[in-house]
Amino acid sequence: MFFNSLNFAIFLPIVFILHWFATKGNLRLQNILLLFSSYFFYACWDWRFMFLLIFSTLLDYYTGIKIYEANNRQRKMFWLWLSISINLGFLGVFKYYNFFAASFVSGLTQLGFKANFGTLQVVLPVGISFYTFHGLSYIIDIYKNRIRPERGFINYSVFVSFFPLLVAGPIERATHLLPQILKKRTFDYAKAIDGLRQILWGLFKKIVIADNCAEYANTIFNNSAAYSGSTLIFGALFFTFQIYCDFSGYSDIALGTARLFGIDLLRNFAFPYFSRDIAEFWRRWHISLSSWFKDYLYIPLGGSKGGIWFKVRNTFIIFLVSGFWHGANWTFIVWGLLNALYITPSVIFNTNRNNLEIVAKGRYFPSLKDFFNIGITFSLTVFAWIFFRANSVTNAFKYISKIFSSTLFTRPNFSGMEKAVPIVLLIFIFLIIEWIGREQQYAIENLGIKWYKPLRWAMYYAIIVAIFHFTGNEQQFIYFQF
Amino acid sequence: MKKFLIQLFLFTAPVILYLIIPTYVLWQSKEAFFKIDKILSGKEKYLIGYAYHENNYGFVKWAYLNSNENKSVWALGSSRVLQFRGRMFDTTFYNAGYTISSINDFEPFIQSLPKSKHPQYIIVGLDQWMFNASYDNLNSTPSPKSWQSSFTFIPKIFPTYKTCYADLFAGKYTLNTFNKQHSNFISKIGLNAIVNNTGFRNDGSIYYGSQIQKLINKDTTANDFNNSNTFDRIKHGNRHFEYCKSVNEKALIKLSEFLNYCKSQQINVIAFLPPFADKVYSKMVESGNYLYLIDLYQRIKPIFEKYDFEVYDFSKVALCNSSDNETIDGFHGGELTYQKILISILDSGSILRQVTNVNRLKDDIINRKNSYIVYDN
Repeated sequence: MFFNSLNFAIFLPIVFILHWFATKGNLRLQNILLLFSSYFFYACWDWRFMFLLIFSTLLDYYTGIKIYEANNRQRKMFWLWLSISINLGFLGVFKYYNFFAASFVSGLTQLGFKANFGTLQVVLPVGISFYTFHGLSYIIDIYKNRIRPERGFINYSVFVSFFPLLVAGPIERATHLLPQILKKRTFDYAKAIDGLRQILWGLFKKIVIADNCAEYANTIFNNSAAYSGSTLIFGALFFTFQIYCDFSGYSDIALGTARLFGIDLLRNFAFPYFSRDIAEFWRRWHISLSSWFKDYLYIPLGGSKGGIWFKVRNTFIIFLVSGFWHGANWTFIVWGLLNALYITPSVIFNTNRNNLEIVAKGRYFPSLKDFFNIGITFSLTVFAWIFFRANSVTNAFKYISKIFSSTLFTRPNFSGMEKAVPIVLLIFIFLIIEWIGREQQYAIENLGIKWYKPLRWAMYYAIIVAIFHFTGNEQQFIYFQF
Repeated sequence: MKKFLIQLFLFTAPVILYLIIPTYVLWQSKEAFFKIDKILSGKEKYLIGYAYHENNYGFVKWAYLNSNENKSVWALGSSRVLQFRGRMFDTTFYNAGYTISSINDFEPFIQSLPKSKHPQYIIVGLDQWMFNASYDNLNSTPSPKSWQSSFTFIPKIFPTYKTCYADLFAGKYTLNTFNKQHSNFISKIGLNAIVNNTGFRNDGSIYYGSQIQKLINKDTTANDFNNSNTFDRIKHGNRHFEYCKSVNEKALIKLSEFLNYCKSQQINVIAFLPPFADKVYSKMVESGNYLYLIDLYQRIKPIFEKYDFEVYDFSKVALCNSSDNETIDGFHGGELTYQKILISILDSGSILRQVTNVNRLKDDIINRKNSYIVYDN
């Protein structure tokens, strides 16, 4: 059930009406409704993996209580590592078995040995990377005495399975989401309207920008050998906007949907393409994942304490794991390592906390220096995305070497180029709106708030018309595959 | 809450009004909001032609084979096998074309059906680009369940509704269009069937309807008129015509695995390379960008010989005694072309002689309806 489908447009109002009317404000009934709605939502994807989701929920619910009740550190560690092992074990089998088997066989073949481990014909359960990390953050927080275990199974299950974030995040923290689930919820008009506004903006990003960019990115990447270097740059740029608008659009819809039920989810994107350095980029991109790695991997590894090479080592580990989290392909690992290389100088010279506030805060335009830094950071990001998008590392290198060939100075030419012109214009308009709204939670949060209602509604209708008119061929949300 | 609901209703009212007309069109034409299972397992004549949901055809073919009696002969491949008809055979036949787009798809499709539904003979169309790594590098294999789950009941609201309005404003159809019926059919399902008289018959073969009429009338609005669209693809190296120098070795391995599977299932395979229009084939060869075509047949022939199966090269229509005047477009022959392909296969002493009569087929060609169609609907 995609967020931009008719099914979801029917599902959401039903759940909304039932949540606020049928439950008559009873918190327990509201949570039961949210849980069953969330399971229904998940079952629409693939009902077979419901059992895995429920098992994972039961596992962490039980081990969380056991960790809390254990009277010595060894018992606590036992339950903690039991949960971590089983959770990561499932993730490993479903997501990485074929990758390791194939890589191992390939490695042995290179050495002259014959081997055949066979591959599993497994389907990757939707959302497994996300709900697994939900559960892990919960039990680790209990182990670290940051929270107490939630004794109500329904409440805990809603934390794991809340449908707006179930299949592609944001990766929530128990310390942030559980209290909201446990607290009586009353309908908040302003919050609901804000939620609808964020959903609208998310749909615009996904349908108008991301899906249209995807068509051209796919055309160019799937036949990159036939295109000039200048065309390949367009391909990389199209993918750059596709992945941002696809994922942040999804997150906007998720956050907006949650707000309709009186729940605030963690922000996942904060205008990353306006970053002035790579460290800032990673504070603004997929925030819930990078902060998860920081809190549950980087800091336990020692974080920034210790010598320079210790910090560099930890940085590389984090980005390697992050790349690996995205999928079982060497391209993601190379992408992660590349980002680690990018950020290493700022780690060494301690400049990774230089740009904490949004660029040009309180001003209309950035300084020349900021503009230049944004350009450099953006270019480095685009370069790294080539590895993320390519089918293989070899293809990525071929793609890059073709960019830097003499064909870089020829006129770009790809199928449907004339139709791409309005899309490029839309991207510019989109960037202007994002720039204007960069100090807010999402670009149109306060846009038109003080206008007369007819004018404000006209703006919303203009966005809706743009969505219907410029809709591209529907593409699956990219991060569903993770 | 009351204020919220009122505001929401007032705001969404125009949007809902906007959605009403396409919803009516899709529902009335059975393009969406229509379960097709009963029609497929019934006996009434139909023409199924979706305009916006071509993904449904995979389900249609799978569901037909799954819910009806076992068929002795299948045609299996992409749209380039769709011209084989039940009337060309003297035994039970179903055209399962338009279910395959890659060499990786053949085995999972057969596996998606129980063994009791498997045929004795499969006529396999091996599109040349299945062996073109630039077009398909075989990065994924579909699950056997993918055809079963490919049906759209509720449409994708944004692209479909937009296209619906665009077609309405372009005059491709009106709200009154759905009252008309073609005299030879009882059920027309989908906008393509209703508007263009184009779709799949009960035996799974395709009827090209308005395209054939346009070609007979030499109407320049016919799809790919004078092969202009196909030539454009060759010029830009896209949409199945990606440039490629050599045959994809991975595809050959996959082909061998597929044939091995058929052997183990006691299914006889009769394969062929489907035809391009002569002009198209010449253009591809002359461009020097499709060197993989030159030795493709010689690379796949030994694999078939290893399993004692048949394979034929009809890469251009001249190879089956057809001509460009009998093609639907640059890479789809008409029904007459495919009857000639079948005759050529039978004249070579094929095992298919057990399921059809070559003399009857030759007589039927003489009495054909026109250059594109042999039999009545």
